Amino acid sequence: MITVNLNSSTPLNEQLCLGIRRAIAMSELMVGDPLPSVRQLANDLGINFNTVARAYRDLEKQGLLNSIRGRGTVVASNEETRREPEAVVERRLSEDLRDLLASAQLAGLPKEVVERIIRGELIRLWPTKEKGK
Amino acid sequence: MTMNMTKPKSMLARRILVMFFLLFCLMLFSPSLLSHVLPNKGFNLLFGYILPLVLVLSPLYPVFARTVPLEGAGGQQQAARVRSLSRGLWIGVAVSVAALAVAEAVAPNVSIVTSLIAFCALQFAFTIPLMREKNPACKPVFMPETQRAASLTPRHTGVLPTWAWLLVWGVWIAAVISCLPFLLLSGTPGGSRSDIIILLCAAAAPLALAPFAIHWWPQSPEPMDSAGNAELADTYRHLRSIRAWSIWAVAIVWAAIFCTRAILTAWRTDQATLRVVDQTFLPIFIATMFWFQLKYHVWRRRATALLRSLTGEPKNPS
Repeated sequence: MITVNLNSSTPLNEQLCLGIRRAIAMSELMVGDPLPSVRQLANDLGINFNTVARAYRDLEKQGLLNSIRGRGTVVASNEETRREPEAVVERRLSEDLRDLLASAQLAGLPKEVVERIIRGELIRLWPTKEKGK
Repeated sequence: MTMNMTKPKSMLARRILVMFFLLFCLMLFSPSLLSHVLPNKGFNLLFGYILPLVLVLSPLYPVFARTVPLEGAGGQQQAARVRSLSRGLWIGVAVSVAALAVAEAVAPNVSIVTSLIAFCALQFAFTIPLMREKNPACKPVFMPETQRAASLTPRHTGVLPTWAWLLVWGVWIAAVISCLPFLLLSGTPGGSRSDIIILLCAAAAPLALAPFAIHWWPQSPEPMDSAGNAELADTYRHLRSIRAWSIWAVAIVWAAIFCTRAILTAWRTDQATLRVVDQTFLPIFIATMFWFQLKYHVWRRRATALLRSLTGEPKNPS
């Protein structure tokens, strides 16, 4: 399931990209799984076809999706092509996390709540490792 | 932020058009219109009186289908539009019934044509716009304004259209190939060869439509609640399967009627046998259509109720 917010300041195609990335990361979409057609997703969400097509194109460029003639768009099977250098990902994660934590602090959220949310998300993304600890 | 918004295509309007087209072909195919020589009282009653009345009254359907909570969706303006369209529809139906009554006095065939024209006019002018305003399948009114969800599971696997096309076209191509030589060589008893060509075209017309219908029906928009729901997704899956099967079933029953009637006509059979065939197959065809329609509406209502409970929309429309 993918959700978009029409009033969000994030453009719709970016929301779609984020939603699909999240679905892949959380194993809702496995390698080789077909995605809905551009027309289907656009109709269901009530958004323009071009917006969905642009999101699919962006994800293809990032190596997350593959367009196969006759099969449509599928989750890319080659994990190496979609992997960015670890240092780049680390730096971006650190920056994003800092921004998010700063917003949480400004909003007056207690540290325990922030920790609980982060732990919950970690368990969702890496279920076995976190449960084992 | 620029928002690229489009209206989802109207599924119900398409379904109505397909049903109308099938009905039109059925009437062309019927002996009461095609060959006036058949003294068939049952058919004259059905196609001269009952069907025209049903055709004229059927556009009233959306007036009674109170399924959408307008207050939560479009507010006052939408409610006003619905009221004016409903009023127009009632007036249109009243005028059509009066015209039909006058036409009945002239001849049953004139009344059929009158009812078809009235049906068409009412559908395009009032019924379809009213359905668009009121039905959740035509507009995503149940979804909250800002948050929208959709399934990431594709509804087309690629296998479905292939065997749908093969099934529909295969049955029909076999039917036409097996009947054509008989028809072209013999002609009808009391009719001409051109009648046969009209019969062929009329009966084969749905053939051109069915694969397209199969193609776009499963792609109808499926409004979800903001978080998505597995039960709702299952209900939609069931609705898709009913839609697809109904088209296949109708196509096959239609092919059976066509083949049997064409072969019997080519063999210059007596009118009594032809009437028995008509009175056996056509009710099966009509019953098949209505069975799937009924089943579809039951599941549609279930989906609507579920969607309403998920989005917390008020139950009673304006």
